[in-house]
Amino acid sequence: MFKSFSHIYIEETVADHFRTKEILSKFPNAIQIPIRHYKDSFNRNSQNFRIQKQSPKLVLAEKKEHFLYPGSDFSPNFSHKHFYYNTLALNCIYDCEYCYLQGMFPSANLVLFVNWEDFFTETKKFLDVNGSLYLALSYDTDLLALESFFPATKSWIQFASTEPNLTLEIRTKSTNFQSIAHLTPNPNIILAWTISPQIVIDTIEHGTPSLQARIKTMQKTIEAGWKVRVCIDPVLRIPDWKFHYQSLAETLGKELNPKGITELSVGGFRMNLDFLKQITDKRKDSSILFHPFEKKDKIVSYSKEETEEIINVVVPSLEKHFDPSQINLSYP
Amino acid sequence: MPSLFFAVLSEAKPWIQKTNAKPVHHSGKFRIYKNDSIYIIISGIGKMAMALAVSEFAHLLPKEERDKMKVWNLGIAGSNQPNWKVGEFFWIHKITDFATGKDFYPERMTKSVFPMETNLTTFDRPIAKTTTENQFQVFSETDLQSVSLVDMEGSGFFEAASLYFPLENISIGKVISDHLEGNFCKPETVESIVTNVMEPLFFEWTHPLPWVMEDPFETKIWPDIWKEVKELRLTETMKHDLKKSLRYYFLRYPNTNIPMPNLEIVPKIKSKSEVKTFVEEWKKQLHV
Repeated sequence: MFKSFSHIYIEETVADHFRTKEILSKFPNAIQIPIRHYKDSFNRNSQNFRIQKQSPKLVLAEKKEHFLYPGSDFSPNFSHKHFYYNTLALNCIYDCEYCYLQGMFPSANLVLFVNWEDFFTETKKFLDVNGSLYLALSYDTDLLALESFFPATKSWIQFASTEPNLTLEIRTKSTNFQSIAHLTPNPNIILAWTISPQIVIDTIEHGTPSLQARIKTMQKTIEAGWKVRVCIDPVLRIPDWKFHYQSLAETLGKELNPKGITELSVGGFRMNLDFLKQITDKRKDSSILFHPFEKKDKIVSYSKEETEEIINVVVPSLEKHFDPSQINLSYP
Repeated sequence: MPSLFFAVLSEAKPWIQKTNAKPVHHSGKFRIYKNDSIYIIISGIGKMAMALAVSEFAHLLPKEERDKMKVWNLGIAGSNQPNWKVGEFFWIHKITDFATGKDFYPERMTKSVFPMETNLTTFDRPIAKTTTENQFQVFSETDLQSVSLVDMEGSGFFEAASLYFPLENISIGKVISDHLEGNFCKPETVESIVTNVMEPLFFEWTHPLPWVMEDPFETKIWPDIWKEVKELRLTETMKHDLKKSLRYYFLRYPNTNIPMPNLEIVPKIKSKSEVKTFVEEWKKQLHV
């Protein structure tokens, strides 16, 4: 599921942390390198994200501040007043060509923060002051994909069971549901799968599970009683995109129990302009990144007409199988 | 072309002989040797000298060449680990500059026949565990607790190299020459130690960087197209946007010829608005 890590950088302050030791025990052959602060390694100048992605290293660190960030404008807030995200990990084991992390982080190495208890404490404080919180857990990473050596998803689900005013969204492409299948479903937790046509998975979402595997996992999750959100996001204007996304809607309609789906979220490609510049500087082999995007307020996206066309193709295709009230636009 | 930095001639000599590299005549301070496909640079002792040598060398090369260049520092180092033998070779994954306390992290990206890695501490003076007539700076076992290998150039090399070369292209390797007994190594001993590990290292050093690949759009397609439309005198922004659109088409339809406008009219296009219309019409064809 994931490549082993040849090197693990370990912040000195967490060298003796029980979670650090647990993670290290999963990678007995990795070379361990003590570091003072993860940024000394992670934030160096002149790193090449693409090259590092070929042999990513692990960094174990302590998050000392910013346990909650206000949600990004690029992400749907699903009408929640307090929409925040946290960063238990930085970077992802997958390699999707459209991923904004390539432009946001200077390094492709994977940083894991091991002091989850501090995140819990700060989240509880927020809830005490504000009364409710919609928290996206898997924002700058894919947590469920890391679950076998970084079981944060399980811990957060357990934490949420003690906090009735906390809603969690755990977004993933992973099929690793079995690692949390033994937990009691919680209506305040939304397990959200990003779904794409198989051709996109094969050519653009490198290293991710197949469409069939993701659908099977979603169906299992629904049957187990969890809330499931399907994210067809980003919709990409690849050649014959209409055919591929219409077929995807057909497949979802046939293979998923529509009643089990809490929501289908649809959105076209969009990104911060500076991130895209960073990415295209290093990744010159991806046609989707060189699309003639429209630029507005430092955001690049498909043009208004192209976006409308996406909505007019994808939404009616989904409406053949799902109730229109289930379908939301994540970035109109 | 790979480049290789040494502190002293005795470290470099076996490599210069093997590669048959010849001194480069240039106006700089440092000795640079070259053959058709490699560079060898000798800096002199100390991190300052090494950093200056890296800087001087880097300024002789265009950025495009530096970006594709493997840049290594090899040399001898003292070991604080009694179990490690003289002649053993280590890749370095962490360098600490003892004087400033700064840490640097050369990242190992490729596999090597030399599997061992460790940290390196760069000191400003030769150091020893015991006092000798050579007046090395003496450190106790306790002072050296976290120290594995010691040298006098590593931090200077890495700090300077990381300013001019991509981090992933930079590597440091050290071969153990002593256990900090406080004696200077004889040049013939250094040569012998270096020679013993040279063959496999030479193969790895001269092996091309696996991530440096030709981009046919950049090397062939765009230069050919640009030749045809150069006289349009596009602004930098127009040139950039046109290039981006051409790359988009090239990537999206790899098996199709890129649509070209009627190039015969190019010499007749004079005004700015005509240029703009010409480019916009062309881009429309590319954005299908």
